[in-house]
Amino acid sequence: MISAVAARKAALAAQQAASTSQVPADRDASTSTVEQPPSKPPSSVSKPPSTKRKPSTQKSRPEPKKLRKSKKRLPNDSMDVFREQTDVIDLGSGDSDEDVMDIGMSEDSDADFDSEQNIPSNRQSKRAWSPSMPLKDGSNSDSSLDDDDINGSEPFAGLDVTTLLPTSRNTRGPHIPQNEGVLSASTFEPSIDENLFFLTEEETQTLGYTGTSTLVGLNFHDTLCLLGTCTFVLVQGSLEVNGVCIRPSSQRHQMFAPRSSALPFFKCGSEKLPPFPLPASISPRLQELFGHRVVIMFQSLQTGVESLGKACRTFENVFELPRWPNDCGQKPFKIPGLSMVSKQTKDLQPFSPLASWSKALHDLAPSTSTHTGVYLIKGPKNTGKSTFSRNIVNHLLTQYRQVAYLECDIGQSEFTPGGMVALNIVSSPIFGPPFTHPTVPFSSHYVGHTTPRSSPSYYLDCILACIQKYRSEIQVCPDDMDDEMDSRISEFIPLVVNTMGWTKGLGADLTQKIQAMVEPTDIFDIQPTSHHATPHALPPVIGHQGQYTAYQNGSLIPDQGARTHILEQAPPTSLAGFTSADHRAISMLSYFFATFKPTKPGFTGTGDVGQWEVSGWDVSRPLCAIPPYSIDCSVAFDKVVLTGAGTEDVVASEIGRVLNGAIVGLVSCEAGALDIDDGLSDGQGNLSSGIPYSQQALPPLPQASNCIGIALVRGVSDPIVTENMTGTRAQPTTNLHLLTPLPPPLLSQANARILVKGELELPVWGMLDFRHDRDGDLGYVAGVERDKVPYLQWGKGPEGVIGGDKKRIRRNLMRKGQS
Amino acid sequence: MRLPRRVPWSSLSELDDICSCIYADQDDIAAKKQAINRATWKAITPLPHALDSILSLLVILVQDSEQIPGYNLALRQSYAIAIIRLVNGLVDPLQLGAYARSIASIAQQLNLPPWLVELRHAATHEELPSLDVLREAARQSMAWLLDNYFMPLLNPLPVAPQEAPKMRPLLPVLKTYKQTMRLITRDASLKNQYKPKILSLLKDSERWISECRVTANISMGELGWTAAQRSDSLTSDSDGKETWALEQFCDVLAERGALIPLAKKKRVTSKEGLLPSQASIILWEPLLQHIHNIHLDFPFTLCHRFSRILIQHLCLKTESNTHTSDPSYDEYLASWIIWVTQTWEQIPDLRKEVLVYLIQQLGTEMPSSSAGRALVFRLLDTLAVDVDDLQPAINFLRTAHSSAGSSTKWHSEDLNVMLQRMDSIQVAPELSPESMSQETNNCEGTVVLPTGWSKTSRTWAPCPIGVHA
Repeated sequence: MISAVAARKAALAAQQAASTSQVPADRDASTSTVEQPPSKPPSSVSKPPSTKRKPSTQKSRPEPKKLRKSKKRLPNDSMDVFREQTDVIDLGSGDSDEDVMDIGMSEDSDADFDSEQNIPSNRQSKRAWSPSMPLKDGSNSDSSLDDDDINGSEPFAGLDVTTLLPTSRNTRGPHIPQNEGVLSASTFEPSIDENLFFLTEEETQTLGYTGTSTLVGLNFHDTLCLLGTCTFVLVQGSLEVNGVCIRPSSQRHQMFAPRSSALPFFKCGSEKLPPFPLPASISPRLQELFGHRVVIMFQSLQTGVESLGKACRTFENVFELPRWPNDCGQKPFKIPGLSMVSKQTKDLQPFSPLASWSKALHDLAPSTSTHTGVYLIKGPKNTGKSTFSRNIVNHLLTQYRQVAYLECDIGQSEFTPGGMVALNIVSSPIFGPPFTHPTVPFSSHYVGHTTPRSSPSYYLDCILACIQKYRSEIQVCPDDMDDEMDSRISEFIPLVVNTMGWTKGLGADLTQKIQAMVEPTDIFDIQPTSHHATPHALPPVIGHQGQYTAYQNGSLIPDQGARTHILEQAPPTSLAGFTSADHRAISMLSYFFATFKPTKPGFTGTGDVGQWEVSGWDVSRPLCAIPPYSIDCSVAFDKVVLTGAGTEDVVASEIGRVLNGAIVGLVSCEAGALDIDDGLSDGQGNLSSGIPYSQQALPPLPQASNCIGIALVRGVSDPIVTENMTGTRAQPTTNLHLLTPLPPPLLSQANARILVKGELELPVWGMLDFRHDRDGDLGYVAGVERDKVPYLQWGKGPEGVIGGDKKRIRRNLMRKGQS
Repeated sequence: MRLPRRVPWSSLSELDDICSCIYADQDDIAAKKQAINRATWKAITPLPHALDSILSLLVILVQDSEQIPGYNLALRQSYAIAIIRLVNGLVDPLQLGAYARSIASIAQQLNLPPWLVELRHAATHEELPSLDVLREAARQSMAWLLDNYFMPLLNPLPVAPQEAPKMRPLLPVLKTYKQTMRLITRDASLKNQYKPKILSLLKDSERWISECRVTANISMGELGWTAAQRSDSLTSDSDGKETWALEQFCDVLAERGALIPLAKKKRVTSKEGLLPSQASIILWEPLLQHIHNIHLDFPFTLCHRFSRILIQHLCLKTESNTHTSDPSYDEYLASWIIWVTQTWEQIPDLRKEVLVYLIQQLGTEMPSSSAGRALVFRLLDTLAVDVDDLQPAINFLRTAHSSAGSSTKWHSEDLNVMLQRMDSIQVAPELSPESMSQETNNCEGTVVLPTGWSKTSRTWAPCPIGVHA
């Protein structure tokens, strides 16, 4: 609802701005009795008020007042300085509550940790305008008022109402930059049966595919910027998607392009490739199409991803063209849910390829069949690490059949909700932001936090375990897939490592340690542009041989021949409104609503280089209405572990309370590696509640365990005591209601008998019930009135309460004399 | 709607329990320990700062009172850090400017004892204060937190003083405006003379809306999704309040004597269709334009509000006699809706949105009188010209209504149909857990779950997260 309102406002504002020059003319034409005074040129709109002719004193009196008023209001409207700063630490969940004000909003938010970024200078322009605060008030009307009495004899029809308006609409809309909308996104001009063909099912079949499809031919200068979802097949020519060249293949690529991230950008690749061998049966009308340099086949993709916007309204309609401006895009492809963006606007930002990025990919050592690369990407947050990581994966997939991806950024992970170090095997290129491709990774370890700040050593252990797993099971691919058609390398799987954006202090030390463990062949160091950032990452103190470097054990191995590529940072995306907290929330919700399928047919679990990937989203019901699994805690789990600073003090009698509503990692552990006794003997909670918890228990060793995924404990019963046949009391137990999207075959095979709870929380969106949102009221949850819904507090709370909010921290506070 | 906040307690009564554990009896160490244990809430979700501070103070107070032999330095350090963090956490949220304000001034604003601020400074930068001072500070802090956190939260002041201040009446302003405009339209030579007056009246209306916006805070509590506060919405964070204020404004406009003339004989819609009379338009257009210039959303709000009033009138009329039937009023209201959509037809989707709103509303409730129905369909048809995709919906409304009118009686078959539907609805959720992994299960047949895991029984019903049904 709200986003609709916003869009509408934008539309109106735009229209008024756009029609500024013609509106006065139109109006005068229609009411011919009033003549355009010579002193008021039609272009007066664009002139600043100061150039206006001085109005008569009497009439101008209200004007300065109003101006003063609006000036006064300005600080009020932009009161919330927490909002202004680029990073606020929400000491807590880091989740989507309203308290989180982390404005850094690129794909790649990273830990909330590095600090003191200056307020970007463009922030002001965004905030300055408010609808109730006309900036250039009335100056235009003065002139019209002076002149409007030329012809007033006709009482009714002749009265020009515009002359009475103190505010002319023409003066509005300073918030819309003049050049906006001029930047074109797609230069492709669709012309049916020339470069755009709609194929029937039979025609599609001649190309070897089913269903109907749309073929698009691109010439060298054509660019195509897409919004929505589709699958595409590159039929002919070399295509550059977001700066990465892909080659024709029979592979159907899935593309997800929501407005919340930079939109995919297609253009012809530079490589010359032989034309597509046309099948003899092909319809003659298509001949012309194949004269184009690049031919792409688009088909519709129905996954239900759009409906995630229901569950998290921040992302409502992100796969649709915004309402404004009307001409920002079109839908020429006859494919439901796919639009072509014709010009760049504030809400629609195409990916803009960077020269240094393309060069770095180009400079990679050519792949050989005796050697694989390990590629490490590092840099401060919001500089495009994730985006570059996706690019390099896509690039490597043109040479290798599979690419391994190690995610060390646990704030916003590429393939999983945050909080996990995960090793993924990617076999098809990624076209979409993280929430459109959740997976059940090949191997992962649950840290439970969005930053490693409270358990750095465990975090490092998790990464080490993943690297060892990669080296022993993945790097040299055990099964040699024999596929004559596919010339890509299958014997080796290269590794891409994405690091976190916490690049200062302890974060820098951790990244350095990761680098030493990973032993990369290539390092991509994204450097922030100087004016934008902070004196970033002071040079490490190398002279001391890591003596005072955290978690290095004094044995820092110097990089052995790793090549370092310095990259420029991605232009800061101006996709305002999507904060890193929003992205975290949507990827968590996306995970819980996802349905998973194996990447390879027949793959069931461990022992094979394969994993589970998303097949669709079922958002027909909110989380509160999905029937959970019912679990007898004493039977199903061996150990319940809490991690995070302060959780050591949770006494056993409180564990049920702590688990209720929590996000937990489901961890399986190798037999014998878990010290179960320690959980059973002295845990008094175990005796009274049947939850195998004991205080200060440590999470299982990453080397011997694996997190299969996360679950939501949506309900915890009171301890249940049953009586045996003999009348003696049995061990008490507790029943948990658990929600997890993990497929049952995986659950039964993986045997995850450990629950780990960290700081990660369910986004508040996930606790609401979108079925009851008539009139925008999300108050009712599963039939319970808003004030009676447990664990949620609506509104600000009563007057006079001090300290009722979570901590908010400002790191951009300046002292006097500092600037 | 602003998003709610996650809190660790299921209801305030749990918080009340903790409060009494802590404060009921100063010397009851066991109760305090119980409170500390319960405050492991911290592991659920970050605590409000006050509660967090209480926890740290309580831990050290309990430790101190147990008189376990140990180094006093450890005690002093614990006290000191608890107080430093208490003060910092209270003060930091009020550092709103670009430059730091002095902590003492903020403390004064919060009514925090100034010597706690001094103590914070001493403990941070100077010699660690003595145990005696620290103990007293801890005691005072606990008392301050009781007065400023627990008490107002658990015993909120009666809502009465928070009631919306009465808005000054707007109708007189509008009436003066109407009279002045009438003067001008009748005698154009008066135009210059009355221009300032009109201007000030327009400003006055605008001021009324602004005032209304301010009271919106209080009247509607917290409004606006956080999403609405995204800086990309051009309206920044004022959306909800502004709409609310405009709605109030529209309500006044809809009163008799404003847009709708008092005299019934003046409520003559123009000949070209359902439109207000030319005279009305001349009078009111400047005002409406003016408001629209300042509030881009005004046409939407106006149409919504008028549609709502119209439907309420038409549907409730027979039941309550408060509104005596006034067909010409309704008709005039409808004509304004049409006028707005025509005047601002360049606004994308305005007409369509009004239509959709009307159709939705009428879908749930149809005017009972045939005249009322005739009016709404006249309205719909006028609005729906060229909007082809909504034509079926309107036709459906028409037919659904006429058929429903003929058979309003219930038959036993109807009940059977409903039962069947209910059955099918209830069965549906049962299928979905399997559907998650249909492909993989098909070959094996039944799903094998790990030991201890089972599906919830069919009787499981949706309930809020955190409730074990």
